[in-house]
Amino acid sequence: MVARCVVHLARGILWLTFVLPAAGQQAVEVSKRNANYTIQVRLDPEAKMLEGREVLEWRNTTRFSTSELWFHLYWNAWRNSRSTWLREDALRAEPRGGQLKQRRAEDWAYVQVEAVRVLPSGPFGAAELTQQARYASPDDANPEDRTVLVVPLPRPVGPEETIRVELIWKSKIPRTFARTGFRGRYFFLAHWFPKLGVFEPDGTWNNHQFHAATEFYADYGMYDVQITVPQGWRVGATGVALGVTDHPDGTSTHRYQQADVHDFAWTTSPDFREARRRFERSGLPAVDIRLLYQPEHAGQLERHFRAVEAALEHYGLWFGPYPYGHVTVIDPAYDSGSGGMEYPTLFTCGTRYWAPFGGGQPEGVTIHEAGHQFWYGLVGNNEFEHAWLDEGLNTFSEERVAEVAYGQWFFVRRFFREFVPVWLRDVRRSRLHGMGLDRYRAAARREVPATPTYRYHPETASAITYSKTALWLTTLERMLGWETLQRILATFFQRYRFQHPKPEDFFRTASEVAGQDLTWFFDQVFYRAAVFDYAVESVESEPVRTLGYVERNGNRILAETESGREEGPYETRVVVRRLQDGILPVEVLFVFEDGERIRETWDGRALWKLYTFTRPARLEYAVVDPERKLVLDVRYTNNSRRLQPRPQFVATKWAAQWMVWLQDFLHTLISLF
Amino acid sequence: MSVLRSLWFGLGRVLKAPALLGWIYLASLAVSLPLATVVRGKIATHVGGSLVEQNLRTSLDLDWYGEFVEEVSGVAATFGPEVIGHMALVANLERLLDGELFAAHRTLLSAGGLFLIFWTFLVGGILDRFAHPREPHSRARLFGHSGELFWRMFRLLILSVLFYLAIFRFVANPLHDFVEQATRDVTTERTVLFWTALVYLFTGVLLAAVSMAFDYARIAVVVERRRSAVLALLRGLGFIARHPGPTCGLYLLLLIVAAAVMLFYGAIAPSSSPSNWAAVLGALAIGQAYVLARILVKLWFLASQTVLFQDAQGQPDHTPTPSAPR
Repeated sequence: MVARCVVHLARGILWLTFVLPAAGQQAVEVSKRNANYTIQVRLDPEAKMLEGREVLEWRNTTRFSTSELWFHLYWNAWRNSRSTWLREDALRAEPRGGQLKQRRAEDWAYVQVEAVRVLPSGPFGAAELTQQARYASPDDANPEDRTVLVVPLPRPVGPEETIRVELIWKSKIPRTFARTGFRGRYFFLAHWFPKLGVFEPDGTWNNHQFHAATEFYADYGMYDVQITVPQGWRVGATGVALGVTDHPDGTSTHRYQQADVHDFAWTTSPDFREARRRFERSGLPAVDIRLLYQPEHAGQLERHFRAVEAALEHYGLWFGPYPYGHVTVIDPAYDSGSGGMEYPTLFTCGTRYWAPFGGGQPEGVTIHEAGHQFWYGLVGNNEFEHAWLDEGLNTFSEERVAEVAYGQWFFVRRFFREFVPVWLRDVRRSRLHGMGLDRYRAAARREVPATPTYRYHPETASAITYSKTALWLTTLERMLGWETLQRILATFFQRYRFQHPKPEDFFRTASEVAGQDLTWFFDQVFYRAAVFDYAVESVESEPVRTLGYVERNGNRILAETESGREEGPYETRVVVRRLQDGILPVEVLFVFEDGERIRETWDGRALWKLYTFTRPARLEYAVVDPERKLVLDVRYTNNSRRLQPRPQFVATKWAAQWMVWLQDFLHTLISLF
Repeated sequence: MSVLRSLWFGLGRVLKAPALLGWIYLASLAVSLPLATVVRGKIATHVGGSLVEQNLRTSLDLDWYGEFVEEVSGVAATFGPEVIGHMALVANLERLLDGELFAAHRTLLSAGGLFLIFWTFLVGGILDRFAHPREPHSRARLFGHSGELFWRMFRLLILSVLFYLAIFRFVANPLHDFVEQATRDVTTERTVLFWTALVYLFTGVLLAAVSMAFDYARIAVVVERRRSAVLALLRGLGFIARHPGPTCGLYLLLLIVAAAVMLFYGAIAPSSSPSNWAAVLGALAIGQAYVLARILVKLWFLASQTVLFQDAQGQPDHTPTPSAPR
């Protein structure tokens, strides 16, 4: 009882000391704050090393005891080529780690925990645990993988007990394999400290190895981090800067604090420039935006700010307000591999020296990563197992914000080793294209979304995680209406802010808010790899005629043949077909030459269905799903059919374009000879 | 020996031989039209009776394109946004400077190979026409000389291909790799862009140098009745070495003309918007005018270089007709 009082008192002091004065932060709803870190870290930019000391204060919020602590040591994923991350990455057609044979000694990384000890606190006495610590590979039993460290404790941590543990470590910073590392004097440090896994309510540790397709899962807490870098270098980090202390050895220590977050990332470089903007919209809390940008992108500041503001505004109004009051936006160094990544109250975007406005860069990635402050930052799902809950929801949200704020992007392709953008203003990228409809189509059967994300094949993971989820959310939007889907997302956001929701939480919320059981839908799009493809198989429309015997004036007579008659009425026959296993009710629209329109609803269960009409005019065309609600339909071209096909014009038009291109190819070729 | 004189008289010789332009144009059409017909058929089959046809009238529907490219194979798979308007030119220029012309789609490579063989066949007759502007010319003479000189030109073709492959294999690609390695700690894109542009420029200069050397080698074969490809190449190199200013100046001026033609077409190239037959035919006409302009410039290159070569010999227009091969 006394121990618990001490813990609560300590938490109160922590709150009063660190959270309230943290540079005027908004009154943030308090998370459980059961994983709190105090870290001192020093960067050696020449040796590309970090030396760190952290004190973790962890409270067991479950009803089970645990006699171990499980930590992530992410950077050991790039210790050598036999790690699980690099083995999985090699499955990609173009590995993110690049050609490992070309890697130099300075490119590899490691994290070495040099000391682990329990600090005296409450029922726990001081204890040295360094020797007992061991590596574990819970996912694939890979003995070469060192991304998980298990520390046995001298005494179990009981329910609601708090333990304080000190870790001292050294890390070699990688040349970026994925999102974290250095390039020249630019450093982006993510996954950089020994980080505790999550002790689940069922009494087990959820602490996966680092996999090529997954990244985060941690409890919320308070971070108090002191970062020592060379003097004059700018630092950007999670949280609020509390001050800078210069040292005689030419270094400076920057102190950052943030409560109610589940991760901490930072960056430093002497080359950063800084710009600030205050986001203010009625009905939403103000947010101070700090942008650390590359000098060569000075002309794109307004574009970055506008994109961040668009995200804060629309996500805030649609789902719920951003509560932290500040966000740091990092424009990463060229080709640093750290762009397009999210961390609490900090994210990286990414642009190019030549980036035409309207082409979607940097706006798209900026909106996406800003959006992750909501889906990932505030709603902290387990990304190792259910990455779709943040990436999918966020891809959907991003594309919607982009469309509302900017309209459709035009098509851009980069030439000459991707330095030179060339664009076609009249070729527009639809929302579905932006969500990755093409990627999904190619991977539709390759993964069942319900599979834990870390078990996805790295090559197809993003097509399922990002694209498929965004597409079925769009399908839901078009089925239920935006207002309903927005309420579903807002309710889910409000309920699970600062928590770790599971897929079932989302599905339950969706059915509840929609007022209908959507289990049948999620069964198909999530628990099975069902593929949707409806088509109009055939259309016929001919004058009504009868052959054979008919009753006339009480006599059975042989009907006259009426071949050659062209006037109406006309009998129209349309066969619509379900070509794949996915089933969804669809509408079928029939449009006749006299303008009459008939709309039917088909439950879509049978493999095919015949529609027959007798009308004064011929059919002009038939369409399955005319409003394209079912955007998961992998082939929409076959959803419609005219009675009189007329593809000649467009085929000629595009073949003519192609021919001129080929002629140019031929003459470019002979220009050498 | 004047560069401007060569340009002027070169243009004159080209304009006096419009049939050459016609033959080359017909050849490019003969290669490209059947393939375009195949592509047209594939697009027509894929669109069928679909209403997506309405979207494709006014622009390239990328959602449709994603389906199309996944379902088609063969030459139609090369259809995409990069064939549209100015992007087509940039795409092909990139292929040229990255050495990807030789690594194109199999069907394209076959088409390119066929066209190249035809060009190699005809170039002897073309140069003969330019070297002897005052002599009577006929279709029979054009094809007769083309046939006589074909194997010599073919040997030069093989030799030049080896040179080009060597440039990409041993110079351009290693230089790009070097820049990538040397700038691996550079954090500004402009710096890497600058060095990459330099590599492209250097690659372009090398390609131009080889192209120029082989142009004069071909001219030497025609004008001086040389049989050996190697000796002809040495003659071409020697000529450039003895007259670096005029040869390079002439090449540069012609290159500027070619660039101007491409830039002009790039600026007016119809994009994806033509939505009726008149507009489509207009776009096709503009495209064909551009192709004709490119052929004209290519012939202008050869004619001007021939004038320059003959001027240097002090026998403009009087070089004897090559004798029949022995």
